[in-house]
Amino acid sequence: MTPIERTPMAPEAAAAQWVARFALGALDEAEFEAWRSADPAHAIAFNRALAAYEAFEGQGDLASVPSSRRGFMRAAGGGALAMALGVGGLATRAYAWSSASAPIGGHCKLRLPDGSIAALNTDSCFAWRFSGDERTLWVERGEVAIDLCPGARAILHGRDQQVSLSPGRFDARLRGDTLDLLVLRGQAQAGRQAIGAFQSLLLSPEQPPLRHLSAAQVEAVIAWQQGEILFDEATLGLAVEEYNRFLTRKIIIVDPELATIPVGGRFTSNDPAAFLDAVSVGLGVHVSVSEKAYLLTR
Amino acid sequence: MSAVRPIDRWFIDEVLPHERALLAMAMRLCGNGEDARDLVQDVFARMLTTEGWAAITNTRAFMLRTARNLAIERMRRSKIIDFRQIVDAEHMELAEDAPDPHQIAEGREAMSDFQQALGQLPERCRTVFVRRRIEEQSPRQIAADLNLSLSTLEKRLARAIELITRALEPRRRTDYDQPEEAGESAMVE
Repeated sequence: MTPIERTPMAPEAAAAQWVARFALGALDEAEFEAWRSADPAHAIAFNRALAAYEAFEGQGDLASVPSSRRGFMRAAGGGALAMALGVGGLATRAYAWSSASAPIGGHCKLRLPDGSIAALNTDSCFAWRFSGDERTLWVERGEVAIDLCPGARAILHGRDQQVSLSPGRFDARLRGDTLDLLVLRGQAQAGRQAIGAFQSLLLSPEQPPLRHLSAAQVEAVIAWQQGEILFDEATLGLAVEEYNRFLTRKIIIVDPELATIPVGGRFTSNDPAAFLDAVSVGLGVHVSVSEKAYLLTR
Repeated sequence: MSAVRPIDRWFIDEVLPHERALLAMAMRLCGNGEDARDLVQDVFARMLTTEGWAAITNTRAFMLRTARNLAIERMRRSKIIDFRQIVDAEHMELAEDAPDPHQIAEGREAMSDFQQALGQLPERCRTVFVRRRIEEQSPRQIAADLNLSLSTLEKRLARAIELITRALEPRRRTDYDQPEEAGESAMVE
C-alpha cells in the first residue's frame, strides 16, 4: 500500500495526469516532454491513457454512437483531440478493409497500397481491400477519382453493382443506387458491356445505359479535382443541387420556377459567394442568408 | 513538438487495437502471463522507436513478427534453453491477413466496454469526465459549476482517465492470467 510498493503503477497514474492536463489545456510541453522521453514505458502509458480518454468517440448522446467501425467514428467524430495524419481527409483502417472519408466541403487524396491514387470529393467515403490476386475498391458514398496502376485484377463496387477496371483513370460517383462511372483512360467492363475512354456508364440496379460524353462534359465531371464546379448548359436547379454537395449551409430555391433557368459557368467549390453573386447579379435572383441556408427567391 | 505526435496517433489507431492478438501470441510464446505482458511491452517500445513506422503496411503482422523475434532472442539468451519453445516459436503461424475474431469482437464491444467502465467510476470522477469529454464543457465552467479548484478538477479527471484506461486494457482481463488451454499447459511448467 505504500507508494514504493506501487512503483509499477506509477507510469499509469502519471500518464493519466498528463492526459488530464492535456484535456484541460494545462499541459506544460517541456515538462511533459522530459517525462515522456525518460522511459519508453512513459510514452506507451501516455498513449494508452489517451486512447482510453478518446474511447468515447463522436459527440452527444452515447446511445446514438454506432458500435462498429471504431476507427471511422474517430474520423467522423472529430473530437477536441483529433489530429489527422493526412491533410483534408482522414484515412483509417477497419480490420481487413481500409477506408477513407472526406467531410462536406473537403477533399482528400491518398495513395493506395499498390501505388494507385484515389481522390475523394466532398462528403465521400471510399474503402479498399487488396489481396495477392484481387484489388477490391468500394465507393460507399459520394465521388472518387481513381488513378489505377497496373497490378492484380481490380473490381470497383457501387451499391449493388460491380465493374472490373483495367489500369487507367476513372471517376466514379454514387447517385442514390446508381453508380456513374466515367472512363478517362483505360477500360472498364460491366458484365458484357465494355466502356472505353470518354465514355460513361450509369450502373443502376436494372440495366446499364452507356453514354458518350463531349470533352466539355468530361471537363465538367472532373472539375472538382481542381476545387471547381463547372456548369455547362445546366439549369439553376441542377447547379444548386451540385453546389449543395459541397456546402454545410445549403442553398435552397424557394420559388420553384427559378429551378428551370439555364445557367453556365465555372466556380470554386468551397466558397459559394461567387456563385451566389453570379446568380444574384446575372439572373436577377434575390439571395438572402439565414442561419442554416441561402435562400433564393424572385 | 506537440504532445500528441503523428507516431502517437498511429500507435493509438494502428498498434494498440492489436494488443489482444499480440498478448494471445505472447502467451503461447512465453507460457505465463507476466513474461507475456513484458514481451508485449517490449514490442510496444520497439514500435514507438521505429523510425520507418509510417511505411509499415501491415502493422499487425509486423508486431507479431517482432514479438516472435524478441521471444526467440530472449530464449537464446536465457541460461536454460527450452528447445521446444524455440521450435514452436519458429514454426508459429503468424496468420498475417486472417481476420482476428478478437479484434472484430472488440470493435463491436468497444462502446459497451467504455460505457461499463464509465459506469463503474466513482461518481465525482464520472461527473468531471462526462462534463469535459462528452459534453465538452470548458474547464472553467466545470470548476465554477461544481465549486472545485482547477487542481481538484485535474485530479478527478486524471483519476477517471486512469480507471478507464485500466478497465479497457486487455491485459487486465482475467482470461490472460491463466494459460489458454489445458492441453498446452503441459509444456509451461
